[in-house]
Formats: sequence, structure tokens, C-alpha cells
Amino acid sequence: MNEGIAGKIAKQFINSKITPLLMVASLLVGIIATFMTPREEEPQIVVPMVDIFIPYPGAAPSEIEERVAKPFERTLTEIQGVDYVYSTSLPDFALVTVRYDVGANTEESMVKLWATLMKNMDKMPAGVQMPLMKKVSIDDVPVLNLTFWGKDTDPYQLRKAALDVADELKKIPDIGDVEIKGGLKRQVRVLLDKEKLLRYNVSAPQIMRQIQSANSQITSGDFTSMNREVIVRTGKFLESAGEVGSVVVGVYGGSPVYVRDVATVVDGAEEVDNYNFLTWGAAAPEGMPEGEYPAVTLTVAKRQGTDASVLAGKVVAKVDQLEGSVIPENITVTQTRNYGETATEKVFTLLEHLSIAVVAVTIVVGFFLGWRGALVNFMSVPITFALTLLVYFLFDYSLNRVTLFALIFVTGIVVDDSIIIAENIHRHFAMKRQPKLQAAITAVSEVGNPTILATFTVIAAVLPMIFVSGLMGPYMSPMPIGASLAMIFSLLVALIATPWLSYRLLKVEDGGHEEYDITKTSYYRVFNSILSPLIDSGLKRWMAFGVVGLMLVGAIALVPLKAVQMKMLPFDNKNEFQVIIDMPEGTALEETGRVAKEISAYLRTVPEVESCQYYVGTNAPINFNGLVRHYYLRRGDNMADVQVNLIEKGHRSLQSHDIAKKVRAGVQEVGGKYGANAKIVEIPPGPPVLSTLVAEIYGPTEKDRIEVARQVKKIFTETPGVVDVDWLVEDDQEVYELLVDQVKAASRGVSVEQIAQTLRMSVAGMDVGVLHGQPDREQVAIHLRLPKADRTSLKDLSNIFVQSQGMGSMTTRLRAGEMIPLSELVTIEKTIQDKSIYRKDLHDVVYVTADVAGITESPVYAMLEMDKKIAQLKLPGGLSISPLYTSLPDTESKPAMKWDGEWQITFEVFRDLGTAFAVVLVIIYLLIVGWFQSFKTPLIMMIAIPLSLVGIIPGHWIHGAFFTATSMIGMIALAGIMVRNSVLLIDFIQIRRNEGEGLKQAIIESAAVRTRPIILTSGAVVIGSVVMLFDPIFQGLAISMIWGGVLSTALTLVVVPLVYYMAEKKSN
Amino acid sequence: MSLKKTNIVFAALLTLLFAGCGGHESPAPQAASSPAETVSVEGLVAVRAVEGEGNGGYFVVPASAVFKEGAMTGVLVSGASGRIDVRWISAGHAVGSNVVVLAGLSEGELVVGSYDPALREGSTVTKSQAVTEEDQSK
Repeated sequence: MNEGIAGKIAKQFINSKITPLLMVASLLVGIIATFMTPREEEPQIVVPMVDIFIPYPGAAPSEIEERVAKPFERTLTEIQGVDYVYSTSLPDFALVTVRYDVGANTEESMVKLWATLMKNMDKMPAGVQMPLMKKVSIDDVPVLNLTFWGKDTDPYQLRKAALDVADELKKIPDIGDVEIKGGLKRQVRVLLDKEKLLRYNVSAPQIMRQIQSANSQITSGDFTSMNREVIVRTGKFLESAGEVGSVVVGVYGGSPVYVRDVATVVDGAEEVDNYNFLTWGAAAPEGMPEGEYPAVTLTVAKRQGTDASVLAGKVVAKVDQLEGSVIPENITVTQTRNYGETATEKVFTLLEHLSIAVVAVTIVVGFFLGWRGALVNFMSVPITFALTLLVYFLFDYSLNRVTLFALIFVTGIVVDDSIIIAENIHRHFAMKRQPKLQAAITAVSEVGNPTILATFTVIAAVLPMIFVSGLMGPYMSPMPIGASLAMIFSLLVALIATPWLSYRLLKVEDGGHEEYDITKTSYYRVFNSILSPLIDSGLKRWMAFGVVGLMLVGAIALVPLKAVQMKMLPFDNKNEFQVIIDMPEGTALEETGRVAKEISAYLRTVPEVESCQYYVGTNAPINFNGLVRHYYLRRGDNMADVQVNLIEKGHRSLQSHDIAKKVRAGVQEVGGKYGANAKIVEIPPGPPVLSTLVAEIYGPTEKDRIEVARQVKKIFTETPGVVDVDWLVEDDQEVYELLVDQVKAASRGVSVEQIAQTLRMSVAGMDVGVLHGQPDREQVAIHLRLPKADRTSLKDLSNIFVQSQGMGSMTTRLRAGEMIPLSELVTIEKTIQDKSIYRKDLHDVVYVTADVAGITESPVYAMLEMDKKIAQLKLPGGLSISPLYTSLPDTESKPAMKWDGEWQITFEVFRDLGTAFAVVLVIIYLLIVGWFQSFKTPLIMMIAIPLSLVGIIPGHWIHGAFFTATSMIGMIALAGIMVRNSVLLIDFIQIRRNEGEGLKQAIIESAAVRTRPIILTSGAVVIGSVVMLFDPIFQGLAISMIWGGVLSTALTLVVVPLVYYMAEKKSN
Repeated sequence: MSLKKTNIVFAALLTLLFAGCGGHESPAPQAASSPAETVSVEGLVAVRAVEGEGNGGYFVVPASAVFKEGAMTGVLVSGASGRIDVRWISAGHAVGSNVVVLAGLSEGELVVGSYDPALREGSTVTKSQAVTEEDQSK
């Protein structure tokens, strides 16, 4: 018999001394690689996203859009590799977000962007300031949050303690950004007294100038005399509030006027601009006090490519050390996020699953081949994985949920090669036709080559997944790479290690010496009774085909019947979620705080909630989702975030998604009372998007867009299952515009700029310098402002005085320095604040966003339902819109709408996976044509592929699960496995026929002989997948592999031989 | 230290290639809150709106109701069920014995007339004690 490559390799290694050494060495490098590969929760996704802030003080959104945003956008799209350009034009500045193709080099992209920006700066209108570019990357997401809180403390002390700790933490290697959320800074507040300013004839700009000039110190040079140099220094920095108070700001009645004469100087906490409180929930650990406590959060990010769990461990140890010294006794430090821990936990859960899968598969093999056969397989799997992990390490992958998942996914597949080889060796040993060594080599030669082919068909099936584009790409790519590598290693192990192990471990049973006879085995009897009648009778055969066909049609029919719904990815079971609260624009900070407080008071009664922390006026520490949604820009009096931490998932029965669904009604009831829009935001399992459901409204004018958006929003709200409806259109906020009377101002010697500056200093306040020589970690600003109580109404504003310049005035009688009340110079006009203008890829757009929960969990179905209603909308001018799905509208001259959000990613993923599947089919066909040298045989083998649907779709229905992207991956992988089964089957038929057997006999024998390895390998796939059934995300894949595997194996064993019989009968 | 431990566990996993699928013991979640105590309160005062000249009015509460915690200003509010809550406010000028509230309270809400540090969040006031003394806010 021809040995082939497989036989030759086996012959080389079966008795070689190097084989065991290779095995041990592979195991060792694998273990070392596992330790050295960094562990983290999310895969390293490079989303080159850059935010560009372009300030244009004073300009209205419409002007900013026209003069700044539009020209910038146009030039940005010239850059190669730019995927999307979004812009938001707000009062005073534009925010342009550029997203490059996923995976593009970040530094390169930044340089290109910078070059383009600089090239066009000369075209910007006067007044536009230097743009600020900020790169946004996954490593900006904090891996560890430490909340500082305490009973008898306040935000000022908390921030100080957090700053001291942050300073210490920065010394830890590999640490990334350390930030502090909330708390109040130390500030020297110069609170102006309006009456005294008037009395002493001093104006706010004057105080600013005097403080600035007093707060200076300069090295003036040196004197040389008697061979010595003496340095001369002039001036002295301000070093205390007292010194600030003693700055002379003017002269009144011959005596100096000090700052303290016209203002109160306070050294202490700044004016309250945020509220941050921690409250323990119903599931709090033992001994945690009830009630709310002021809190400050310290967030720790990691450097790229480092291990999150190691860093978190170091930080926590350091903080423990600092307790009692840097951290005062009355402040408690609690971890409110530890992605290092969750990453480790996730990694270990997956490794546990991996081990269970390996053990389960071994037990199954044991049933068929005895414990010795099981041991052979049991030893070959770790070697395969060890080598794969080594390659992960070498490729700079981290151990995260996606890379490890790739390993679990292939557990069932990688044992197959070993099983097939070991099984055949076992069979040949049992036949006892040859001496032991010879029998082993023959056995390897016999199945070796089809095994090589089969391995490559499976690789061909999974590898095209690497071409999934967009944000989902990085989530997917470790899978084809990991699985393909594992397959190749498993093939090598099967050809090198398995024969070596089998030769030593498998026993040739003594005893019965009778000649091996296939017809006496039970497999033969079973297949003879099933296949014989079907082969003999054409009618029965067609009936069998009819039954299979009906099953297939029935299975597929479940999809349009909505018995099985499609969804991109189901929600993972996380330990946290957030509530994002948006009050109407113009809501005061305390009012927003009240809503946040009430919502968190409700949330803490939920039995699964461990703690709640609300942030008013500032954003909560972001997660990956917040990064893409720009939550780090959420700063304002009308915004609040509530970070909800749930009890560890092992200790609760409800999944985080169910809890989120449960609390939504309660949260929104509280929010509704105050007109707040409160959204529950969960961490998406896959790539984050603006919102699950996004309707982009395009149209000729802003009025049209908002009108259409209003109607679409109404449809959203009315559709059951669609929740958290919102739109990116601000509510009307009242604005008092102070119009300066030019003539009056000029005649009284006051400039418009002076009025604006005085008002800005009085109302918004202004930092006029910093206090020097302070031990504080943060700089201490000197802040000039009116006290809050003096700036509450228009009446207060009109009491502000400006100083006449005198000289420049047209009436010379006027003396410079006279105080003129503002009310004389301005008229007040009430208007509405201009709304922000959003643009996407050079189109003006209004976004309507929503989430789905409850009766509809999949956005696609909600979209289809709303489509009908949207199409019926009557728009002014008799126009109607039909929502677009994949492309932007051709024209902006009439209103249009496009779906975006999760749909966009779903569409891209299923499109790419579908294309991948088509490519897979072609490659598999080519491989088999090359092997069998026939155009027809490969088609027969590929019949098994659609048969897997008979199992997959009803399987999802039985489990009540969604058909997800992972289900699709399972289906693709299964195609490879099923074709491999057919290959093994038909290969043996051909071997037997070449040996002179009749067609019918060869078919039945082949089915009988190959059933055991086929059932064994399919069984391994099924058993290996069972552990994944309990993981919310990978459930779809498990269902595909289990149900598809079982049914398609059973059907393959009957249908493929029959079709082959029909095809060959004619050619005979 | 914890990392080393996990590494040892991991090594054990790989070499032994076996891991039990241990069930997690789940301790019963701790009981939510201690029973709220009932405290007697001097008097509850409603937040009043005062008509101002020019642009709109303002809310006032008695100055004695307001307390300071660091830079934050608060009052104690009695909710519908008599539960006492801390409410952070933004305070303006004093007007007589009252203080202007710029934000954080709405008209008609009941605040504890004189701040008592002994009262804490979660305490309740019974209806009989919840006497609204309109006169006090003059």
C-alpha cells in the first residue's frame, strides 16, 4: 500500500526518541507562553478615532457649521483611510470626529490628519483658534476605579486624598492615565462685592490686571563683584490668600484700595460644580453603612499591551499600603470597578470550560476505544493548545474572551484528527492482519491523507472569517486565526505524537484468533438493514429524500415565521450597567442632582444591586461603550450618570440584562416625574454603537429634519418593545442677549469688549492666576467672580458697573474711571439658544435613538415594524419617506431616513460572513476536486452542508435563542466538519471499490467502518460545545454545533451514500 | 501576590488538565435596611414661592433649615411617606429669617424647619408630627 505523506511522517516518528521530547517541549513552551501573555477583558481593538475641537468663540452653530465644520470635513475626506467624518457644531466651537478604517495605524493616521488640518488653517475665518486633537483609544478606558468615600468628610478633602494617592500610584510601572472624577478643587476665590466696587471706583478687569501683575517674579540677571556673582531676582509670587487680599488694586481718596477691601478672599473649596455620591445597595457586603456618602472616584487606565490583572493587583496593594498614612482614617477606599479581576475571572472560567470540554470528549472517546485510546487523545489535545497559545503570544495577542473562545470553539475539532488516527490504529490492531508496528503504519497511511484533506477543509471553512470588516473585525479575527492554527497543530500532533502514543498504549488483545469479518459487526448489521432497502428500491429512496427535503424546508420556514429571530449578539452577563440621565437643557445642577439621587435611591432597593454611585455635572468613568458614544464629553448642569454595580454574577440568578429590563420601568417613572430622559445603558457584547436603534434623518432644511424626526420619534415611542427613545435635539434653553447700545457706550467711553469681559468675570468667573509655592498636587487657581447669591437674575446683572475709559470717549467732559451701570448701556432681549448641528459624512443629519427590550429584543424586527408606519407618514408637500438600510440618500433635497446603529454592524457582519461562506464553499469544492479528481463527487459530499440547517434552526427554536453571529460562525465551521465526514466516507468506498468490491457492498461496508470515527468526531464536537451552552454570547454557536452536528451527522450517514450510489450507478 | 496564586492555580490546571465544575455557593443577600426609626421633629415647613419684581419669583426656606457640609449646602426634606432625605441646594441671599433657594427644591415641599444633625437620612416623621407651620416662614 502507498504510504503517502502521512504514512511517511508516522514511520519516521513512531519509534523515534525525539517524539516524546518534542511533546514535552511543546507543553512547556505553551505553559510559559500562557503566563507571559497579558490578560484582559476586551480584545485589543484599534479604533483609530480622533476628536478635533475647533474653538471659534462667540460664533453661532450655523456660522460654525458653514465656516468651520464644512470646510474641515471636506478636506478630511480627502485623507486616505478615513471611514467616517462626523461633526457637531455647537455655540462657540465645533467638534469633528474622524474615524479611520478599523486596524489602521493610529500614529500614521494622526500625522496625516495633522498635516491636513495645518494645510487648511489659513482658510479658516479670523477668530478661529488652534484646534485641539485628541486620540481616543481602548486603553483610555479605566481598568480600575477606586471610590473614596466616608461619613465625616466632604468632596474637598476626598479630592485631596485621591490626588495624593494618584501621585503615589503614578510611580507604578505600566500604569496609564490616572484621573479623578468629582470632588472639589482648592481655589482662592475672590468674591467681588458689587457695592464696594462702586464705592471704591474699582472694576473687575482692573482687579484682574492688578492681581496678574502682582503675581510675578523674574530673574533679572546678576552682578559680578570681587570674583563673585550674585543673582538678582525681582518680584514675588503670591503664595497665600492673605497675599492675594493685600494686592493693591487702586487708589481712592488718597489711600490705597486692597483686594480685600472690595472682595472677600476665601481659600478653600471651589464653588460646587458637581455632586458625586456613593450609596450601598440591597446586596452590599456585610457591614456597609446605609445612606449616601460624598465620594470621589480615582480611575486607573493601563498602558497598551500590559496585563490588566497584574496592574490592578499592584495598584490595590499600593492603596492598601497607603491606608492610614496618605489616606486619612475617615476615608474608605472601595473598588467600584476592577477589569483586571473580571478579566482573570473570565479567562479562568473559559479555561475551566476548556478543561471540562477536553475531559468530556476524552470520556466519550473512552466509551468507544477504551481507556487506553482515550488517554492517547487526552494527551494530544494539551500539546495542540500549548502550541496555539505560544503562537498567540508570538503574535502579540492578549488572552481575552475572544481569543480563549476561539480555543473552546475548536476543542471538539482538534481532537478529531487524533481520534481518526487512533481509531484506525485500534481497528487495525484488532484485525491482527499485520505485526503491530506495520499495522500502525498501515493504519496511519490509510486514513492519513484524507485526514490531511479533511483538516484543510475545516481550515478553509473558518479562515475566510478573517475578512469580516468594520468594528466587528477585531472581535472575529482571533477566531479564524486561532482555530486554523490549532487545526494545523492538531494535524501535526495526530501524525507525529498519536502514532507514537498509540503504538505504546494501545494493546493488541490476545484471545480470539478468528479472521476479522466486517459483516459480523453490529455497525454493519445496522447499516445493512437501513441502506439495503433504500439502495434496492428507487421508490423508498425517493421517499427518504422527500422526508429529508421536507425537514429542511420546515426548518428554514421557522425563520420567516419568527420562531427563530436574528440578532447580532445577545447581551453578556456583566456586573454593571449605567443610567444616563439627561434633564431638559437649562436645568440647574441641584435639580439634576435630585433626580439622580432619587433614581439611585430606587436602584439601591433592587436586590441584586451592590452599590450605586451617581455623578451629577460630570461623567461617570467611561467604559468601552462610553468611549464610542462620547460619554466622556458629558459635562453640564443638566446631565448625570449613575453607575450601578451588581453583585458578582455567581451569586445571583438573574442575568444583568434581565435586571436592566426589570429596573427600566422604575427608573423611568422617577425620571418622568421631573421631565428627565433616563436611559439604561448596558455594556454591549460586541462593538459599541451610538445606540441600538438609530434613525438618521436627512433633509433640505433644519426645520424639515426636526419635523420628520419628531414624527419618527413619535412612532418609536408608540412601538412596543422600543424603549429609551431620545433624539439629539436640545430642548429650548432661554438666553438673555445683552445688546450693547453702541452710541451710548461710545459716548460714555466704554467699549463692547470691556462690557463683555466684565460680565464674563462677574458671572462665569475667570482664573486670573495661580497660587505659587503650594504643596498641593493640583494647581491652586485664583478665581475672580461674583458670589452665587449675587448673580441670580437680570436685576443682579444690571447692577454691575463698568469703568469709563474717558480718553477715547467723544464727550470730553467725562472723566476717566467713572463707574457706569451696565443697565444704562445694554438692552436685554430674550431668545432661545441655537441648537447644535450634527453632520455625518458631509450630510446634515438629525439622530433619533432608541433601544430595544422586552417583546422585541432584536432591532431588525422593530425596524421592520416601524418601517411600515414611517412609510405612511404624510410630510408637508405630499412627500413620503421610505427608510434606507445600507446607503446614504442620493439627494438632500427631500427628506430621507436611514437606519443605523446596531443594524449597520449586523448588516456588515452578516454580509461579510455570508461572503465568507460562499468563498468557503468554493474553496472546499476546489480542495475535493483536487483530491478525488472528479467534478461530481465533491457536490455529493457538499450535500451534507445544507443538511446541517435541519438541526441548527430548530435547535435555536427549542432553546428559545437568537440566531446570532456566533450561530453563523458555528454553521460555517460545521460545513467544514460535515464535508470532512463525507470525505472519509467516500474515500473508503473508493478504496474498497478499487480493491474489487461491488458498489452496494462497498457503500454499506464504508458506512459501517466509518460510522465509528464519524460518530466519535462529531460526538467530540457536540460534547465539546455543551459547555458553551451556558454562556450567553456563545450559546448560538453551541446550539449550531450541537444540533447541527447531531442531525447532519445522522443524515449524512444515510443521504450521502445514497446519493453517491445513484450517481455511480448511472456511470456504471 | 494574588497573581502568583492564580499562576499556580493555572499551572495546576494545565498539568493536571482537569478542573471540576464547582458550583458557586451563593450566600443569601443581606437584608436591605435596618428599620427606619421614627423621630419627632419640631416642625415641617413648606417651601414658599415669593413674587419678585422684574423677572419671576424665587423660593425661600427658613435659614435655620439650611446646613453646610463642606462646600455643599443642604436641607432635610420629608417625602410623601414621611421619609427624611438630604437635599442639596444652591442657596442665594438671606431675606429676613429666610434664605433664597436657587435650585434643588420645588414649591410646597416640606423641609425640616430647624436642621438637627441627629436626624439622618431614612428616618421617618409620622403624620401627626408633620405639622405645616406656615407662620414660621415669615
